[in-house]
Amino acid sequence: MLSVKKAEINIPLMDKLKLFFHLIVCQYCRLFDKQSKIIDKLLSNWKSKKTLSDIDKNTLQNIIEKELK
Amino acid sequence: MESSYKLTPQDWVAKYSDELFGFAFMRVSDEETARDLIQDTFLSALKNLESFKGEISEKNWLYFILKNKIIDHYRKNSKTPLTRIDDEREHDEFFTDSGHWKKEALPNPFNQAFNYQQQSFEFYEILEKCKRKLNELQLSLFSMKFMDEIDSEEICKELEISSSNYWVLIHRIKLKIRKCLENLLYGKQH
Repeated sequence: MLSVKKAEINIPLMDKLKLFFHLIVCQYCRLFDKQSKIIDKLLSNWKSKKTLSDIDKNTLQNIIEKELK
Repeated sequence: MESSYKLTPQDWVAKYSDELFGFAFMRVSDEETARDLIQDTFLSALKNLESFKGEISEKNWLYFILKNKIIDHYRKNSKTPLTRIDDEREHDEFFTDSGHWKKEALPNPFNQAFNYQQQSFEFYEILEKCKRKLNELQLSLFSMKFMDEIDSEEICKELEISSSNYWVLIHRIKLKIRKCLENLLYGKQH
């Protein structure tokens, strides 16, 4: 969990050391840490291509026009 | 003072609905909810036409209203008792009582094709599927942190969670997303 915390905030020196030594002995934590950074990068580039259907757009347009009257 | 921007509600659907819908869908992962949020946004904007001072563009004003609607949605969903209970039940899906990785949860390396795959549209569809596996509280937190880049302090305040809970949840979200990506991209034989 410290690796996740470190990615976002400046953790205290003791925690940094704790994490450092933990990552030395835990190969799966090192791998998780690396992949977690990749996922962060992916998420920051994520854009949706979803659009509204024409039916939904017509419904919305009708609602707006009704309100404007 | 005259406004720099003029409102044109009759053009909102044509000009902004797709963009706002994509924005909402990314955050709530549900088409119906995203549609409702867009409708609420337009209705709310129409009711408050008088309050528009023209200091920001019409588009940014609609985004501002939509963001508030989405935050209300997060807040409402994160408070359902089921979400809290589910989250507690998920505890230790990945680790043993002594804090070691469970054998079935051990991370595997992403293969070389991963760099190529992440450029593709299918990859983001898989990521979307993984996002849907999060419970409501996790999804709200995920969207606030990764989509809206809201700082941790504000997220804790909005979702009424403690700072330590926040880190536990972020850690768990990452564990789940990572595992789900591994399973869906490579299958269990990886």
